Amino acid sequence: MKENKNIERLFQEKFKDFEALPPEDSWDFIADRLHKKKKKRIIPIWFQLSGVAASILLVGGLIWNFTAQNETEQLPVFENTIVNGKETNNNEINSKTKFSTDESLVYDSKEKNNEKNSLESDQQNNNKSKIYKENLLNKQNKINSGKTNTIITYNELEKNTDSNYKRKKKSNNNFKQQRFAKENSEIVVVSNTKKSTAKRKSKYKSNKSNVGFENEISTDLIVADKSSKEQQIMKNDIDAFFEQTTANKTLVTNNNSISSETNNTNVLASTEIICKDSTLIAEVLKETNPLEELLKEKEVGKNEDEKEEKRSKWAISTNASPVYFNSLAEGSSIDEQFNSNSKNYTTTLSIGLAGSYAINDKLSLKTGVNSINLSYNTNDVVFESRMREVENNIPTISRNANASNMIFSSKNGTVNEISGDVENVIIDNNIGALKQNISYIEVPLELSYKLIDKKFGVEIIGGMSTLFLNQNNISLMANGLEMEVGRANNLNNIHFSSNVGLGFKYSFWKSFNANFQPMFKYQINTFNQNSSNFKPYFIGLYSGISFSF
Amino acid sequence: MIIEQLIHECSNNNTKAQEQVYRLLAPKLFSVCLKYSRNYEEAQDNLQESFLIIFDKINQYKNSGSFEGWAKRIVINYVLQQYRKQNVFEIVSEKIPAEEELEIDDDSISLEFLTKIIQELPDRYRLVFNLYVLDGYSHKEISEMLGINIGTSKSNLARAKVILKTKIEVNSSFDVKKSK
Repeated sequence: MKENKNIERLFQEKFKDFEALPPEDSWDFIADRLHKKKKKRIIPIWFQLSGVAASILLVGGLIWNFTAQNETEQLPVFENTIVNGKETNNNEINSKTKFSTDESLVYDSKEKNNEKNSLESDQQNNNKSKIYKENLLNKQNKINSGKTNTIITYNELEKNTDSNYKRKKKSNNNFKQQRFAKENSEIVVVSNTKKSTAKRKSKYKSNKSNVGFENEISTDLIVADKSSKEQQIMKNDIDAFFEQTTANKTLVTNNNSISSETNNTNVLASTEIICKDSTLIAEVLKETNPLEELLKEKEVGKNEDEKEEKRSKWAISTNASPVYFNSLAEGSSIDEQFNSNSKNYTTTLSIGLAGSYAINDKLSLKTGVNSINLSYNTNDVVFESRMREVENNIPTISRNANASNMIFSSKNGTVNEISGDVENVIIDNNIGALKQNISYIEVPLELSYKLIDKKFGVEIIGGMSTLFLNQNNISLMANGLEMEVGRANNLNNIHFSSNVGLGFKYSFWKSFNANFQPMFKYQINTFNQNSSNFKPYFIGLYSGISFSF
Repeated sequence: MIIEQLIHECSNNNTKAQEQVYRLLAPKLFSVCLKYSRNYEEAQDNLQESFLIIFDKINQYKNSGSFEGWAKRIVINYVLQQYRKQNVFEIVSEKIPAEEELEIDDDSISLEFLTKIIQELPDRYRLVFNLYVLDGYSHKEISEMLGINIGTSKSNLARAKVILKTKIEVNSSFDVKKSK
């Protein structure tokens, strides 16, 4: 049908859905070059990564990264799901309890025994695996739907080419085909050589025999190959192509017998190419699901990762932490009379080294050495200095020589019983603060259980620490001056703490991890005597870097 | 979802994922290369080089806009860069020929023939024609991309259309003769 057409529109319509398959060797070339590039760029990538990691640490982009990783990192967990599948079924009743409550239980676990802890974490794990299982199902559904979609589109394509063929029959001249663009261009090459050889003399008959030969080959191909529809299209194309070439030849005159031979080989070559292309298309049909491939890939990758992890069972880490010291109950470690006095707890710094050993994929044992310094002030302490030595009114303080003439009492309950004493008038009563300063060498022994172990990881930590008393003094702070008055004699040289906490890690480069572990440490038998209901604990926010090997 | 996953894997240099991305994009990008290049071989070269750039810069792709569109822009930019190197953007007369409508039997023209005559256009005519007609860039954008002025872009386009029209007409008259 003839119509007036703007040339722009003609091209726009024709090229709207234009797609062309590039030659097959293109990918090989690209893959080759990519491979070379990778080798060359190993060191710069390291630099880049460490730079990225540093900036991530600075910006505190951990959270962002977690969300970015979430989607992709879920995949390898499926494997766990499959492994844990049986367990999940067995514990189905258990895992019906809500995940959130489980978690809160875990947080509360400081007062529960270890057995219960592990049970809960198991439950939690099961719940998680259940969730992952659901995810997996969803994903599979998606994959399936994706598959059918692509197949449908291919079917449509086939239909399209069919209808195209009908049009081709009309015009005899063109064969528009989107999918087989390469094939077309190959044929063009062939037909070009034909045209050139056709300038030599030949008979029309030889052409005809060629057509026959060609058809035979193509029908053979159809029998040989089972994908009938595509082959039909191909046959049609070949027919159309030959109708065209014969038409061309009538115009440009004929071939001689020698060139007809070359024609034959050309034809053979072109049909071979067509065959190759059809198999190519078949391959593409099979591979329409990249996600499936990726899943397999991921599974393989995960296995490799596991092997790697097994190799790196040991890890050493450094850590530094601000320590927030406090007491659970209102009390005083110095004397009962200071129980109700206000207290200032100082935030101090703990630094240390630790080593850990991975017992299995989930559990690891950690120990190390930390230096830790705890201090707090008891405010509103009335102190009096006498001219002579006085009896120590606070038995828990072993006064030193400087303080042998001092007595301390709480402002609230103070009675200046001896104020009438003439010798004491010289020195005024003063109000100050007693500062107790204790430092320990802490040797923790902790077990951690990994909840998430990816590039970003979460673990729960429980254990105990042995604390060796290192430094112990009490000083008086008043009027901007500090004077050491003695040491506490009710502190045990060795005491323990029970520890619970959470650990977060981010693996930023190879076997280097950045760690952040908020820990709660409750002190047990710190004092050997009555410590007036003083129940000290401290919270540390341990952060550092670990290296596994 | 799938494509995002693939992109992520590609940025980790996963060869399998790269191949998947190649398989997904190659037909579309090769068609672009065919339109913008002088011939089939050059189109293949341009495709390969463009893919190397795509995989190199895939981590710069922010999930705004379509990935295909992003990749296509890389191809176009690469091709333009090639011609910039070859210095094809010389100045020509900027007279704009009047545009005429073309009387044509739509079905009788093959996509292949159209591709061929586009490839045969002088380099800058071809680029301008492609950018303006087939990829929807404005003359202003084209003038910036090619470092020419808007008038030149317009005149290049008009000349390209004249050449294409002539070739189509010759071809269809050839058809008419043939069918007789």
